[in-house]
Parts: sequence; structure tokens; C-alpha cells
Amino acid sequence: MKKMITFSLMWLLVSALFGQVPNWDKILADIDSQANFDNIDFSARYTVVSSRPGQDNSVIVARIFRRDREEKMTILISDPPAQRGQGYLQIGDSLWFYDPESREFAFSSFKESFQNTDAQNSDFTRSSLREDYRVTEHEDGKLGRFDVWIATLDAVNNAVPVPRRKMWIRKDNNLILKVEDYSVSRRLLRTMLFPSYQSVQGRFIPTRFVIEDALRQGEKTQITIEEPSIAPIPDSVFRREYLERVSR
Amino acid sequence: MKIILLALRNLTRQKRRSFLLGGALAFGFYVLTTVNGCAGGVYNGFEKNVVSLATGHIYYSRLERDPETKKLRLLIPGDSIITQAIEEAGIKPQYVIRRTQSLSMGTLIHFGKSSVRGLEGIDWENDPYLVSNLSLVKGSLDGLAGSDGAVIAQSVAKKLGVDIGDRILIQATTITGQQNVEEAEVKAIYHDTAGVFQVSTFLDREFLNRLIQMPPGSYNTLGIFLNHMNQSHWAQERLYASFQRLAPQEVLVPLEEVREKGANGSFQVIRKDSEFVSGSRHLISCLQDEPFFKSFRGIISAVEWGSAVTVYFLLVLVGVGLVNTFRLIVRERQREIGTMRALGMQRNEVLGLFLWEAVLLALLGALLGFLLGLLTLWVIGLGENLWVLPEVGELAFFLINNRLAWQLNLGVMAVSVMVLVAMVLSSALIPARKAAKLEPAEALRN
Repeated sequence: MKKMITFSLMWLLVSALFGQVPNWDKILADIDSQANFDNIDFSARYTVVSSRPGQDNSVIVARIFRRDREEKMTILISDPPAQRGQGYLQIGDSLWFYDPESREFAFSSFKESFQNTDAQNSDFTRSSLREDYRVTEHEDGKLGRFDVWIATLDAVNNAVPVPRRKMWIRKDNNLILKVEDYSVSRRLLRTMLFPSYQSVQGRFIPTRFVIEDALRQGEKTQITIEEPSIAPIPDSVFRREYLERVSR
Repeated sequence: MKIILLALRNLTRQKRRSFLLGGALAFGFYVLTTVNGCAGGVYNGFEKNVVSLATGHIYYSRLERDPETKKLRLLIPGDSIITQAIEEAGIKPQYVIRRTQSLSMGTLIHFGKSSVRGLEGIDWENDPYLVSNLSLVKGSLDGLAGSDGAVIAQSVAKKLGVDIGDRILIQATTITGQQNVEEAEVKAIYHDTAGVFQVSTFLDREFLNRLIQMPPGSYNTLGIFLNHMNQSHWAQERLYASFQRLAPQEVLVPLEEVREKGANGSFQVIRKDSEFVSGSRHLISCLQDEPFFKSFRGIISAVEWGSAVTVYFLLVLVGVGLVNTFRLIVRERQREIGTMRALGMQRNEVLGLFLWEAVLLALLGALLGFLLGLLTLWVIGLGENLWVLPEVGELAFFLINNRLAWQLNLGVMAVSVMVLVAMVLSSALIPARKAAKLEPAEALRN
């Protein structure tokens, strides 16, 4: 009897200890699955507001179409008028920028900034944290009223633009509340805040998120995601001809 | 010979008229000489300064695809082939320098202000050409080797609001596409071209290697400085052939393509080449093939010939006046012509006499104009030794050590002399023929 009680107590203690260590592989997979639409198409209207000290805000409105299962994405800018018709087309690892004035497609990169804002082109594509990063440090913490994991993620390949990220992840549902991106030299590049989410077909995408530039004080970009839709998207949307046609 | 001496003596007889006529011709030639020399000087300064800011008269680059990211990068992991090729080609360069150039632009940041510029990593102890030719506004290049010092253009310093000793952030993309940031100290500020072409920020090579994550001690551009720009194409061809002989398995971008597109243009072609998925491509480019250089050479050539043509038109106007002047001369000297004819001078000798007077007038006018032009160029060329020029400012890029290294285009000058002589001859031809046709008796009677 005594042995049984001792064994049970030890088992409970071990369970309690190991229960606190998160399964990062699962958590990152969960984060990716919440942000990705692998079985269905997704589109939404993105409003990107960029603020710089001493300058008027710049506002870009774009419609983003994603087909994550085929690694395809089309971004079509509708506002401001000067940029109307500009767009991006992703097919697999390649990204092109389309300029309706020159009617030419030029190679772009996921690592480049989106239209001179604090956002990067990679911020609009599917999430691949599990594939590209591994958690090297973590600790418990709190952000506002939420219990969070504060995890440090280091890139495992050179495909991603940010070699190190620090994330504040809600413990209860694995939603990201805050991200800090660091350079190779471990200097803070930018901070992203995700104050609210919306549910789309059982997945959670941010309603809006704010990116603060850590190198240029006072500069920030706010991205609002509206009119999310999972309606099927015609195949033609993911072809060059679509951008050429629409921009006319 | 006698006719020539006689013609010369006749010119000196009418000193005032000869002086005025010759002076008009001399003035035109003076303008031509000065403009030509200044244009040549501007080109010399531009050439020298561009060469020093570029990586030499000829530069060798090697591009490869990163196997993981497929991103294009410049890297020279070992330079034994190119070094051997230089030796075998028999080029005998003045300098060979090794630099790191960031393929993508970097961003300099200082308290919220930023400026996007090219970044170049310099081996400060072994890059004498840049060190001696960078025209500094402030600061010094001493102690830059192994430091976090940055040498920035004056326009960049102004935009960022920085001065010597200020610290700036430099944001760049590594060769594998990651974002990186390092802090640097502004150690020197140099005169920039203010929009002539993009200017770079110069950093210690190891500092830049660290920033863009290139291996320590490595570089990605090898530059060859020749003794003269004119040797460039010859040296490029020999180096090209030598490299191909030594490494036939390596892929060299065709010479014709490089000559047509320049280095940057060739990079773009390689970048878009969908068949280039692995391995490397080698590029031997020449500064003379760069579009901006060709454009500038074209502009200078246009200025040289344009000024010459303008002076030719002015001379034509002068020529119209010369026709009347020669007519007047013939009328005034009819008695003299009659006397000479009566003494046995033949018609063709009379013709020859007047034509030689015209030719000598043109040649002496050209010589005077040329000498005055040379004197003016010499004075201009003294630069700050004579002028009080506290700031040459943007002009610095067209000067060598703050002086105009003027140079005459002898081809243009030679053609101009011929045009001048031809114009004066044509002005004098009709009156001279009229003089030659005069009968002695008629001439003496008049």
C-alpha cells in the first residue's frame, strides 16, 4: 500500500513537472495551422497604414488572394490611385511585382519590405514557423491579462528573412500576441502586436496588427484585415494575365 | 619660298589691318582651345575619380547561387585563377585591389532619418588608389583599418544630420537574405557627385563582411588599376583569353555582352537566367563599358565637337567679312600688283602671293589664339593655388586634387586649324584670282 501511494505521488510529481514543458513542435504546428488555409482558398481586404514622424500617413488598400495548398498568392493594390493596379504574384518560391505603368513583372523577394512600409512581403504569405524555426529558449510570462509563453525562435535555414524571433504566445489557445524580430547581430528590428483576432472557418487570423520599427523611432505600420472570405477563387487569379487584365 | 616670304612681309606692312584680322581669327581659336581644354580636363577628372570610386579600370566578379535559398550572391572564395590570369596576360597593373561590395543596398539610420546607399568594404591598408583620391570634406582616413568607421558622402551626412564622431546604424541584407544591423562611427565625409551617380558608403572590409555575413578575409570584387584608361579594352581581352585558357570549365559571361551591357546590366541578365540554378558565373568588366561612363564620354565629345562647330560657324561669319576685306586689299594694291606684273611676276605667282598671305594670317591667328588659350588653361589649372576657392563642392568630382587637369583633344585642334585655313583661303580666293587677272597697264593706270 505504501509503495502504491509513493509510486502514485511520484507519478503525479513527474506528470506535473513534464506537463509544464510545452510541446513546441505541436505548438508551432498549431500556430501555423491557425494562420494557414491549406484546404481552402482565402481572400481578404488589407488596409496598410504607414506612419512616419513629420509626414502624412500613407494608406494602401489591397486585396489578397491565397491558395496555400499550392503556395500561390496574389496581391492587388486598389488604393491609392497612384499605385492602383500594382500587384504581387507568388508561385511557389518565386515572387514577382507587377507595375501597370511599365506593364512588366520584376522579380521580388519575400524578404523585402512591402511598399516601403514596416511590413515585409513574407508577412502576407502562409506561416511556416515549424518548418523554419526551432525554439531555443522559453519562459512563462504574462502579457496584459493573458498567461503566455515567451519563446525565442532561431531560424534553422536561410529561407527566412529574420534569423531570430521572440514570441509571446497565449497558453490557452496558442495565439500570438506579440513578436519581436531580431537581426543576425541580435539587434531588435521591429515589434509586432496582435491585439485582436477574428475567426474564419475555425482558424484565427488577426483583425489588425501593428508593426513598430525599432531602428527608426516613431515609424509604425498598422494592418487591418477586413472582409475575410473562404469562397473559392478562380484559378485565373493566380496567373500573370489576371494582374495585367485588372490593371487595365 | 620667295612668295611665302613676300607674303609674310606684306602682312607686316599693314600691321593694323593684319592685327585686327588676325586678332578676330585668334579670338575664335582661343575660345575653341579653352573650351576644348576644359572639356578634356573635366573628362580627365571624372575618369580618375570614377576609377578610384569604382574598383579600377577592369574588375572581376564571381556570382553563385546559394544552394539553399537560390539567392544570387557575389563571392570570390579564392583568387588563384584570376591572379594567375593577370600574370599570364602580361597586363602589369598599377594596383590590384580586393573589395567587398554588397549586392543589395544598405540603409544608414540616424535618429529616425535614413538614407539608402551602396556599401563597399575596403581593405584600407591595401587600397592606395581610393585612399589617395577620395576628396574629403571632413575627417580622416587614418585608423580605419579594422575599425567600425564609416566614410560617407556629404549629401548623406546632410540628409542624416550627422558629423564626424556620430554613430549610425547600418542595416543590410546578408548574402543569404537575412536582415542584419551593425553600428558604425562616422570617421570621414567626402565630396560626392550630387546625383551624377549613386555614391557608396565605405566601410572596413571585415566590418562589411561581418554585416553581410561573408566569411572573414573574403571579398567579392577584384579590381585592376591600369596605367592608363586607354589600355582597358586591350587588357580586358587579354585577361579574358587568359582566364578561359586557365579555367575552361568555368563559365565566363561573353565579352560582347559585357561590353554592351556593362557590369550591372550583365548582373541583371544573370539574375534573370532561369538556367543558372547552381554553380557560378564569372564576369570581367571594364569601366569604359559602363553605360554612365559611355554617356559621359559622349557628352564630353559632344561638348568638344559642339564648341568646335560653333566656332566654325562664327568663323564663317568672320569669313564673309574677310571676303570684303580681301576685295578691299586687292583694290588698294592694284598699283602694286601692276608693278609686280610689269616686273615679270606671273599671274599664278600673284594668285599664290595673296593666297599665302591669307594662309599665313590664318596660321598666325590660330597660333596666337592657341597660345592665349594655353595660357588661360594654365591659369585655370593652377586651381586653388591661384583661386581663392574655399569649397569646390560638387565640382570636386571633375577635378584632380582640386585642380582642373586640362587636356586638349589634338584631333579636334588639328581639324580646326584645317577648317580655319580652308575658310580664310576660300574667303581670299575670289579676290586673289581677280588680282591675278589684272593686266599690268590697267593696274598701273588705276
